[in-house]
Amino acid sequence: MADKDAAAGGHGGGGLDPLHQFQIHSILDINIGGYDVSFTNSSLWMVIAAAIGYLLIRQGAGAGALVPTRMQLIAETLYMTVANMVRDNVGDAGRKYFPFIFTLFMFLLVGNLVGMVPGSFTFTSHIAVTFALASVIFIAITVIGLVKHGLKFFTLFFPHGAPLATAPILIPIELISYLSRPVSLSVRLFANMMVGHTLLKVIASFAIMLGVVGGIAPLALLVGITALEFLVAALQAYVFTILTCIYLHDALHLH
Amino acid sequence: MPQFDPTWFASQIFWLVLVFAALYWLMIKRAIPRVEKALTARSERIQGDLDRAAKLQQEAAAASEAHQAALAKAKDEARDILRAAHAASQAELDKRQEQLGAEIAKQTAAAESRIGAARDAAMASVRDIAIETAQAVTERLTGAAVEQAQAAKAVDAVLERRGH
Amino acid sequence: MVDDQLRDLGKRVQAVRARRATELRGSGGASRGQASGGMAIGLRIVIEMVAALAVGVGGGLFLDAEFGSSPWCLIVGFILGSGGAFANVLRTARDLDARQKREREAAIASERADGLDEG
Repeated sequence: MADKDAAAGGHGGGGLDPLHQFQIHSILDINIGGYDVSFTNSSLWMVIAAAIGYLLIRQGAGAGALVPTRMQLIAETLYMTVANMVRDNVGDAGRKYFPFIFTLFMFLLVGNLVGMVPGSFTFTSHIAVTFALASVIFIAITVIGLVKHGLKFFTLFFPHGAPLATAPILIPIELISYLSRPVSLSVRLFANMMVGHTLLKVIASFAIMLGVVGGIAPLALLVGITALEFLVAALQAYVFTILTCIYLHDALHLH
Repeated sequence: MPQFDPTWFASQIFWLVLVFAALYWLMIKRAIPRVEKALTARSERIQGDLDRAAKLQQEAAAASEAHQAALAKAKDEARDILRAAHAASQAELDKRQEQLGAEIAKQTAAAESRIGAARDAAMASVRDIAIETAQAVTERLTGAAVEQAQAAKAVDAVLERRGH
Repeated sequence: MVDDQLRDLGKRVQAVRARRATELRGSGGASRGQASGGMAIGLRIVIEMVAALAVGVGGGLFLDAEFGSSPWCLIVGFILGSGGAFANVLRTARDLDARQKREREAAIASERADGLDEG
């Protein structure tokens, strides 16, 4: 979607480059301690997503009516979705972590969805963002597990009932499997968002290249895939959150 | 791919942490408590209404049961009263009938005895009259006076023959 | 009759309360939105595999660079990464299986609850 804008407006030479939409550019140069932490288009859309996510919940709940208004219903449905997810996947022990998981869900959901707005930037399509998020979650969950279970936490790396002799092979494998969690978590979100947006861009380019007559079929396809991408945007936020819940459950209950 | 350009890694992570932390803070301070309040209020209201409905229903059922029981009791009582009244009037009637019967029997007995006495008297006088008549007739016809005892004997014999 | 109406009302109130209690306890019918199409499952499994392999190979390369033991750590890392990929795929499959089973059970349970409600 951002692509069509880019193609029509011709942002420099990147008009038809499907990856141009992922380009980050600085809006306000900032440098702290030798690190370039400029406020970029990515940062801008993070702020926008966070603001929309916050206002959606706050304004929605603002009425606090006994019979919910439309906005309130949206806010409450989102809340209940995550609350049920936490309860079903983590259990009662997960109640403490609900605010974090809810924030995570809202941030990713709105981030993915605002990324569908033409001309916007999808910050979740960058591996740096998703990997940082996944790593923080992974480390936090590991620490929670260690604090709760102490050394018993390491039984997570040895399957129940396996012969002790297999430990030298199984433990490294399980360790790698465990360490691959933040990778798969972040790659899944990043890949889904990037592939979808790139696909849209490529098909949009086809539509433009083939002109008014020939472009109708790609345009129809574009409309269909755009609808699908909205679904994927919501689904990936949900999957990221639910996997966080499952990992948290593992750390809290050790299977 | 711009995704693997390390130029912007620091900026992305920095702003991610900043924005996420701000959103988290706002969520736990402002947004989540509001939603929770509304949901709790609604949940409590629904639960309260449901509990009240169940309680009222039970009360109504109990009242209905009590009403049925009272109705049944009143019916029983009415039947008892009716039966008692019936029995009382029947007894009265029986007593009166008995009294009447006794009275009638007494009067009948008295009348019978009176009649019997009258008949006996009449019969006695019939015998006397028959004897006197027999004496008188015999004397007129034969001219011979008949002893009263003899006449009595003859009359008795006739009376005997007639079945008396 | 009033009595029948009352009994009916009582039944309805009880039914609503029971359903509410199960709702509050948790439906178990979670993760409804979870992707279960063939494409989504395939992508998920591929990512799980690649992630484990990447961690193994990446770890191996890192250790080689650290200790100058090239290429031994890379080889070991690759083998262990493959094992990890295999373990991840197994776990994902088991997960999907359990989820499917739970969804089926939840569907049956909710059907039964609906039947009770109407009956």
